[in-house]
Amino acid sequence: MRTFDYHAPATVEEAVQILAKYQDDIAVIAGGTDLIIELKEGHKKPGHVLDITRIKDLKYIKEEEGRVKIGPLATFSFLESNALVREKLPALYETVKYVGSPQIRSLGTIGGNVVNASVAGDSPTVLLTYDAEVVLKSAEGERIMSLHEFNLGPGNCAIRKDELLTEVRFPMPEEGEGVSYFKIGKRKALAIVVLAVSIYVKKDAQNRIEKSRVVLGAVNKHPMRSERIEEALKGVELKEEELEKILPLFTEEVQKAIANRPSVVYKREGVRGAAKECFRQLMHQLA
Amino acid sequence: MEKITIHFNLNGKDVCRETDPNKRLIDFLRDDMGMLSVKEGCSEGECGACTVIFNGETVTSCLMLAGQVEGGEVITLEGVADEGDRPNYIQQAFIDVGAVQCGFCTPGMILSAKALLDKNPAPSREEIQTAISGNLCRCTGYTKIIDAIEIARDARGGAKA
Repeated sequence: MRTFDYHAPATVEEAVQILAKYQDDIAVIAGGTDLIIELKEGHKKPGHVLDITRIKDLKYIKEEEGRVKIGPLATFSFLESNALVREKLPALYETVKYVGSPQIRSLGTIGGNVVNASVAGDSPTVLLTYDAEVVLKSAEGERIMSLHEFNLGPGNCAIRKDELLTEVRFPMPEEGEGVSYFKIGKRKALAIVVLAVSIYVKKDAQNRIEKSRVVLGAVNKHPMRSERIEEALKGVELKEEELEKILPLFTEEVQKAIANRPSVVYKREGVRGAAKECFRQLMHQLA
Repeated sequence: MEKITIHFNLNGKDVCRETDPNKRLIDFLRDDMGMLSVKEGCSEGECGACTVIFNGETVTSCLMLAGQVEGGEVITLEGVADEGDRPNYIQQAFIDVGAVQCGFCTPGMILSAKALLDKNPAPSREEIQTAISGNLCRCTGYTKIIDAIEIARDARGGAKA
């Protein structure tokens, strides 16, 4: 690994000053589960490394003013053992408990997962379903951006070189709203996402879907919302036989998105099973 | 490039050591601190051979920079034995049941078992399987390892009724 200057500030203010100063030659390390490999293989050769893990007040999850706010240094194991996640955010819980392995969950952070924007990343899909936004800080000030705008493609997001992600937040689901998530990996542990489906619905008094967000992960270049499926779900009763009529649309969406990729044969079938699991979770949550 | 100084607790002792900023934790522990139980397998966090306990949680030391343990507590297999270098109850269970073949995964396995049992003295067989799901073993087929952790749990009176 090429050598570098190591900066480990204790506050966001110091961190953004360091970023401003060395922005063309610096890498930020949080959990390090992706970065260390890139440094070791020589894919990245920064002259400076900014270790943000000593900024203790960036590791939190809290409910405030009807919103869930997550600090970027919240690790997957921290979220997995958190009561708010376990009790009120079942889709996020379902996501974090299957990331990597216990060791990876102790290291990997939600902020790193969002900023690295891997096609096979675990949390960006579910965060998009929760309608998350990100807070970006720099020496110049603060920007707030929806995750939808923030995701630009594989390994690419709209963060500037002088900015630090300082919060991920989304509305706390209310009574009558549910969020589900289902991941297909090659095996249970240490598996990246082969395919993920995540669905949010809001039901009306007649147990019909009033509003939804449907997100497919590891299909397109970044988690992809399907307006076509969302439109089709409008007014559908939350009943197994009614929801099953929508499943062929999932297959069509995958077919359309990745028609020329070898994995389409597997994914267009798998997506149906994952969507079915999501509908099951939603019926359970909203029963 | 400037050297960095790391203050941390290694196996119960406070340590202060100067090192290069670009050292991974695994290299720092092996080369600078002489902790040779920390094994390098895949170098990308997939195999668990380099597992150590950092602030009570298992981590793969190939995916951390040395400087990231500043102010924290690290436990390697060297810090697990009872007084007088006698095997502790988990190590003894591994010996008794024959859970060690080539031995390369064993330090990581024992540390994953320790982190689990320290937090949850009465884990189910499934919880044990989850706790070692980040540690690959190519010899044993895992059965004896899981048996050993169950025996260790029972030896401490943690058996579920």
